[in-house]
Amino acid sequence: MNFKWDWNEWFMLFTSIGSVLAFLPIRRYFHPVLTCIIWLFSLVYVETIDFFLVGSPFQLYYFSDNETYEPSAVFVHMTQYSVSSMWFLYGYHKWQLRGMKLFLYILAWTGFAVLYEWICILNKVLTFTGWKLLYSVPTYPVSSLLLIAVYRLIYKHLRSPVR
Amino acid sequence: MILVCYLIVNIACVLAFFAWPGKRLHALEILTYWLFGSLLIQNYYAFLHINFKLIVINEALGPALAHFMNRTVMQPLIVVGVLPYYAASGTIGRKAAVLACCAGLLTGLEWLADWVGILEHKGWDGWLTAAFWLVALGLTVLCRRTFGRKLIREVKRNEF
Repeated sequence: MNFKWDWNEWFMLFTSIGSVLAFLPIRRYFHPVLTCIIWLFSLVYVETIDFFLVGSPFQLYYFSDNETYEPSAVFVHMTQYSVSSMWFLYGYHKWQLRGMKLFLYILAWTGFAVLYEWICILNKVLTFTGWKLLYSVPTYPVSSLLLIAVYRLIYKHLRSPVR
Repeated sequence: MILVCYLIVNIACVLAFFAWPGKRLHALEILTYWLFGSLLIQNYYAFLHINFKLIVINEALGPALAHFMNRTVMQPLIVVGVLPYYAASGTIGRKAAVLACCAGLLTGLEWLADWVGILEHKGWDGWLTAAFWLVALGLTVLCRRTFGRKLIREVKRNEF
């Protein structure tokens, strides 16, 4: 490993702490089991995609400013993605979004996600070696729909009997 | 060819997992332990492959995809599949034997992947692989003890 603490690590630390603080107002909104599984799902989902695209044979980008899997990247994975998922589901559930409203909601989140990814590139949280910001655009609506599907699955099974 | 073989093996694992008779886990337990197992396994490979270069994944697309399937489907499912047998084993000796057998199977599968050319161990010995699988299984058992109890309590409370 070639780990050095500089600006991008500070950026990751501040934004991750900010994410954890942003989670506090909605921490009791969902069932604790649901929160736990969504948190885990978001973490595994993003790590799976990152490892797939960062590792062999694609090597399309890497986290931070060197090609190793840095502890700061793990910290970002554990906080920012999961908190974003919880806020996304909070809005989805609170406003009971369906149809066109859901489409616009996902569109707004996609815009926010792409903007945040661009800020991350500027701050060297992500270094692209073949990936482009444009490629990320369709991944966010797909991820949003998958997240909703997992959320509905959990919600349904929270009431299914234990065998 | 390797990709097709592993695709069939992974599909067979999924079918066997859901068709297997005996004590079953709750759907949310399966999802949670599968995610937890996958998290441990993927971090294990990520650190050894990206950081320490002790495991080198084949650069060709077929073997790389086969390894992707193994670490996201087959290996976590085996970890989840052993949990009901662990719980049903009465004595500590039997529980240890169940975990040791499962760790042996997972170690064998990882070294089989090395043998067929999906990955290559470079300075990472077989006993270290076995040790990792034992720790991963132990942590998943611990996850079930904490999360599983909480989940079952909450689900029972929601039943009507």
